[in-house]
Amino acid sequence: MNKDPKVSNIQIRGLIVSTVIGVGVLSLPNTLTMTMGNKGWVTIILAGILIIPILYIINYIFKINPGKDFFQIGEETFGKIIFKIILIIMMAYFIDFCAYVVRSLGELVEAFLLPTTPIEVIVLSFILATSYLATHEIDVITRGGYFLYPIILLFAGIVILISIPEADFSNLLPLNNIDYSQIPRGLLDSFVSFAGFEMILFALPYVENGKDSTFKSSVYAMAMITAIYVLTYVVCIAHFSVEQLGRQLFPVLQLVKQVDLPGFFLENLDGLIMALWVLVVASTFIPAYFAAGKVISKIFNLKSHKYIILILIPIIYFLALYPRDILQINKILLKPFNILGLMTGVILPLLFLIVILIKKKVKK
Amino acid sequence: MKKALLFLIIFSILFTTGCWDMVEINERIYPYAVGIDVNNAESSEGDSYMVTFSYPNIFSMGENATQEETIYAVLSTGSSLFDAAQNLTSNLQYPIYNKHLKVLVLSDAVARNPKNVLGIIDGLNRDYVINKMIQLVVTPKTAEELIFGKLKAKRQRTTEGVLYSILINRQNTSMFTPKTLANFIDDMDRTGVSTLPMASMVEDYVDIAGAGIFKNYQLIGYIDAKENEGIAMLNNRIRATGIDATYNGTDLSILATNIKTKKKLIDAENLKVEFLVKIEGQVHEFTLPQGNYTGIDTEEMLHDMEEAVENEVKMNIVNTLEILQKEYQADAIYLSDYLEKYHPNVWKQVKDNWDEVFLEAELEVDVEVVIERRGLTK
Repeated sequence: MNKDPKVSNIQIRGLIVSTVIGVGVLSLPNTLTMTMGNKGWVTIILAGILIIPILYIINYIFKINPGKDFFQIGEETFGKIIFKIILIIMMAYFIDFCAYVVRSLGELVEAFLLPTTPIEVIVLSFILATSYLATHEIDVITRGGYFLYPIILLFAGIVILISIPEADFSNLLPLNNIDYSQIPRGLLDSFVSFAGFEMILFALPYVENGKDSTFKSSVYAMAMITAIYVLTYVVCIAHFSVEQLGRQLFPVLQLVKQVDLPGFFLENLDGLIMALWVLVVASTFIPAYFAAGKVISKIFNLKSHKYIILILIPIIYFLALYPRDILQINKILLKPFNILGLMTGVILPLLFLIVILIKKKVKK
Repeated sequence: MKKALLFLIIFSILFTTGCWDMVEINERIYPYAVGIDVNNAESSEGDSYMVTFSYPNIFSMGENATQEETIYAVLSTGSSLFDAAQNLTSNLQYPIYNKHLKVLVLSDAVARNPKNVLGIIDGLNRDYVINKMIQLVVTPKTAEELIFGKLKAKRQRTTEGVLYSILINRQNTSMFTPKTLANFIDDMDRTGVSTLPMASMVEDYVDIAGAGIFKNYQLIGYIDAKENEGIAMLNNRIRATGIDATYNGTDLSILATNIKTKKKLIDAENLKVEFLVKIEGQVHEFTLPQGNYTGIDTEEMLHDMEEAVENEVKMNIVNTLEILQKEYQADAIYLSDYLEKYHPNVWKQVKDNWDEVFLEAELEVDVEVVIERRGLTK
């Protein structure tokens, strides 16, 4: 890659929305009801708001280091060795991210769409198909994300619109009995579904013009994601009682299965939604896959991440198929994913900020 | 070299892909009604249920139909619905596919045992294929009798199945309230009480009227069509219904087109709740005594008629509430749900011994009837 990749603001928005909305959206209402009852929307909004300062910090880091990319800045602020450790953590995070996403996809596609196809085939063909896009540079990834962005809006739009006619919004009542002790748990659960926004670490330096409005456009993307999550949550609560929602693993799919549009001409919409959802997942998987390749190539000081992507195919494949069942998926893939996600998404930007501020003080 | 590779890839696509495991739509059996009975046979071998499947015979459809019988029903035994379908494979020519299952009939004996109901509901809800909007029905006799009986009901024959076409309720009746699997589970989670429409064979015809009351996944009794109407009114489940009353010794029939009920907690201490039922309607039929041709033309007369209807409706609702409270202690009117949502503080105090509180609750009924139109004649 000799020419510099270029990214526009609107593509950043598309990238964030398409990366963040992925596997989690199907099960988020369930995980939130387990902790928050019918008040899950509170923590979704809170998590969305809390991410805005992090976005600001990331923007700030790049603003005071113009013309440098994430890896150069990292090396300058932390020094080579510490930054390598950080990169290794990030590598683990992105590989785990990929494995978790592709395994969840395989499980659901096998259950809903292709019951006789072995999961190995689904997982492998998905990785192979996406690996082509992942070998490209960030500008292509962002364009890909932006291309799939309307499909995500369509997906969310269909789910929300078709479920409104039969919704019973009184299920959201009573409004005032928030269990405050559960909020940290709920916040953590909601935060996990926002994982993926750290992709802007790779894209931000390449924004070509209007660098000032990048922050605005990433906040806009975050607001959009929050709105989609809240609306999905609300229609789920309006359809199922809290007890039922707590029992269902993929309430959004269940919801779509239950929708019976007047006139009976559309029933069993789960097939359509699943087909759209595969694209939604692809748009989450590709950036994460790219990021894993990029980070590894920087650890070994390689010029291109192309071959790393190819090497990663068997690694992700075996990691994804390692857990035996859905409970093990949660234990082996999801739990580390949550912890590592918190580290790269929240702690890393904060660390950056602290080190930069200290260095500034020392210089003075 | 590149061309050879390309050729190889295209060639391999030709032979390795395709719908190798496709199933033609006419090579599957789509049951639309399934009945579940308790298996009383001696040699049951752990097969606790007798399951009756009824499915359309696709060879009887279309212009060149080769067979006459439009519906078939088969009987099987198994420890669950899925097991029974599995056991049928030895005498069915095609596999059973449950995606378009529309109606599930529970027999009285099955429904009386909460373990059975829980197991069946869980199986249906857990399955990936089954539509969660299937209609549930309870029958006071055996499901086998109902499903085999409906084969004979020639007058009611439809392509989507007799039970289903009656249940989707195009006639806007209040004799029964259809309930889907999803609704049933929802009811159980919210209040622990639900009603399922009651179906039985009357002579040669399928008749759905009244309801079976379920409490904690157990059938505890039946109510008739009139009482079902009372419950449906309180739950805002009626779109339109006819109400009969007597006015001045003559029959008065009202078509209620808009029925809205509001619950209101009056006294939290003694749990006094008022149900305000608002009915809008028009006169359906009203024959005046001979020699009196004035018709309905004074406001007082209309008011009196409204009052007569109000009393009639109120009597029915009060009667229904009494049965629910005293006989079944079943909160089929979503009272606990209402308290939980709108009066969470009151609910906190009563939720632990809700059954006793519900038994003692003072439920007041207030009916307001407005007759808006009197029809084409005076």
